[in-house]
Amino acid sequence: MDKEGGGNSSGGRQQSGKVTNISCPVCGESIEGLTKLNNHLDIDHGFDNGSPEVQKRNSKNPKTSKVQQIVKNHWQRPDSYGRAVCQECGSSSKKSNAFINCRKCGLIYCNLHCKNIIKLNTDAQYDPLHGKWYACCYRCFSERPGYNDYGSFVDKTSSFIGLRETKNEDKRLRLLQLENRLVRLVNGIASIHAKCKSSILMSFTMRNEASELERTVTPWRNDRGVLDCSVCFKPFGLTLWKHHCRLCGNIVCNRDETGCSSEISLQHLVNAAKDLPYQQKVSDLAEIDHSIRLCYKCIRSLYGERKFKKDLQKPKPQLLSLCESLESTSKLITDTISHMEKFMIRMDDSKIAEQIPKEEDMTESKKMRTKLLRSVAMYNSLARQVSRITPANPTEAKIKRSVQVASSTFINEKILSLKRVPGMIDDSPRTSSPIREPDKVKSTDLLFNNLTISEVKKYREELMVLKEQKFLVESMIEEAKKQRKFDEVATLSTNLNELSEQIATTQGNLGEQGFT
Amino acid sequence: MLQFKLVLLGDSSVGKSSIVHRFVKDSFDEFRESTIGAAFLSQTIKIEDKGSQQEVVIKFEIWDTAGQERYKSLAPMYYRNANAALVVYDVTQQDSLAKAQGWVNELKTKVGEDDLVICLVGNKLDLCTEEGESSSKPKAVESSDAEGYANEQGLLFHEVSAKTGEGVKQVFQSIGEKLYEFKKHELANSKGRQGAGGDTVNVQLQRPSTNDATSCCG
Repeated sequence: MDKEGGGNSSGGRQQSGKVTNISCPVCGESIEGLTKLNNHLDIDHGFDNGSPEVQKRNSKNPKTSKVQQIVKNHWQRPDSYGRAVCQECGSSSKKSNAFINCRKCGLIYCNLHCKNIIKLNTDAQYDPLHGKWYACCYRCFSERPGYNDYGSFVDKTSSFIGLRETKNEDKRLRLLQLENRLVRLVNGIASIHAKCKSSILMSFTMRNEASELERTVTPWRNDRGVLDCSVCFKPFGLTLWKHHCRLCGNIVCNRDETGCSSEISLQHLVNAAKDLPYQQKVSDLAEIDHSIRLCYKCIRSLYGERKFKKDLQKPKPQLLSLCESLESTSKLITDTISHMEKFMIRMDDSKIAEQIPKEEDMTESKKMRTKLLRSVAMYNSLARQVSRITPANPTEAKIKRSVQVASSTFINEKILSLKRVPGMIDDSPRTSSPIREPDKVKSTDLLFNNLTISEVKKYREELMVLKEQKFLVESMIEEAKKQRKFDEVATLSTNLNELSEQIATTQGNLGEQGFT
Repeated sequence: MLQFKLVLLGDSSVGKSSIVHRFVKDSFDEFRESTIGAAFLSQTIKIEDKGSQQEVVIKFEIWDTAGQERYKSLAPMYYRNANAALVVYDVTQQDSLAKAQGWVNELKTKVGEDDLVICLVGNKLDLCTEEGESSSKPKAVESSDAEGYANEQGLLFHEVSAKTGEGVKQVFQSIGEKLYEFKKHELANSKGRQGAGGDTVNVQLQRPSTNDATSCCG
């Protein structure tokens, strides 16, 4: 009997181990022992970490554990022999745990075919809002309203285009604003310059007036509360000063390494954007010695597009022009080959019909041949020129590598149809094709070690075929052994040895170009 | 028993494998898949020695090569020391004869002519003989043309149908006879050269082929 109504702290101070009756500080009920009091407080008054809800549920657990059960009266029962048959796969069993009723339709399924879950209410109806998860068959799963195989599909293109347009519109407006400000600045400075050209204190007055003008053209942002550069986000300090961009008014630093802002002379600004409507002629503005500070963002939006257009007018670098001519040559080759193949088919048809080929067809085919051979030779020489260029920067080196890979792939791809060209001519009436043959070899001899591309390709193909065959023969030997046909095993083994030899030779021919 | 190595050559899908299967297993598959690499099969036949009227058993070791262009590089390995080559074409395909002629040329240039028995075989005869039916195709290769070519080149010539089995046995029979003739010549020559020194008796040590239907151990 210690204290009455001392709050729950009174229990904490109780040191003695003997059992005493304590009255609950909240409801006054007399409780035996501290532990019980604690429990009483925790459970009945919800002092345990302030979550009375949880406690309530715990305390009522025995009662609420009888959660409202989902209806079961529509369930399919096993037949009179206790056998249940899966609706899906038809397997049957008497074991009760091998089968499960779909909670929705009530039919019996095996465990394999009742793997979906669906939200159902207690009436076994689909209820996505208040239902609980229950096992169901695939049919119920897929037949529920709103189900499809691919999920929901919304076409966002139009809204995206709309968003993009507003964004671009904003950008254009902003650019227009910047351009207007620039024009006003230039005009104003030019007039100030004209006014005080004759004055002795020219530079002084000009600087003052120009600074005033700058503030009227662009509302400067209040620099109080601005702690770091709006471009590079470096905090300002004693060494890093705040500067205002004269066009957008934002506060930026002037670090050289980031180029967040820079002072650019009026002359350069005007020269780089000659198309803007200044009051004076561009040439007249050249004599004004005045610089304007612009931030990185303004420079980019004002001059980015202009610079791009200007760059386009510059002569292309050698690599690029070579690349373009390679592209056009490859197109020419592809076209000629397809044209030629069609032509050959026509020639063959006429040959089958036992017609004598016409003279103009012959000259036509010869012309095409020459054209094709020339363009291939051209392609080859262009590819070599590319490989001779020393790249000026990493990007060019990258481009060069890609171009080289692409050109050798192209040759590789076309080599087959190219090789067929002389053959096609030979098949048709005998003409002076053999004389051309050496040409052919020369045009495709992009060298890989000492092998031409075509040879490498041929050897690789051969090697592949040989290895395939080796595998086949090995399995044949196994088969023959099983069937006790030992005379066949001997023959096959000889062949296997031959194959291995051949593989070794071909691999030797390929050298480094082989596969590992 | 004499053993001979025989190789089948020809364009793809002319029916090389079908001919072999008809000969070896006496079966036909309408939807045979194309051969990969080269398949090996063996079969024995009996021929009659014209001199002594005795039966001689000949065993063919048959290499059925794939006709696809991709496997062309494999062919030399198999025809290099073959005793006989079956060059097959499709009687309904003009191109296939041209390809077959290409093979014949290759064989003649790469392999010594006298060692090799070449037989030109036109397959798919059944497609042309089903007269009046809508499925029959026109015969693109006239027998006379092919036969003329075969005579000119000194080849054996047959037209067969692997589907009906028509003429297939005869092909191998005639090849066997020709090979046997060669062998006999060769033996006679070598014996003549050896002179009277050796009264050698050839004892057949190998047991008879298990492929023989009458044999007990199949």
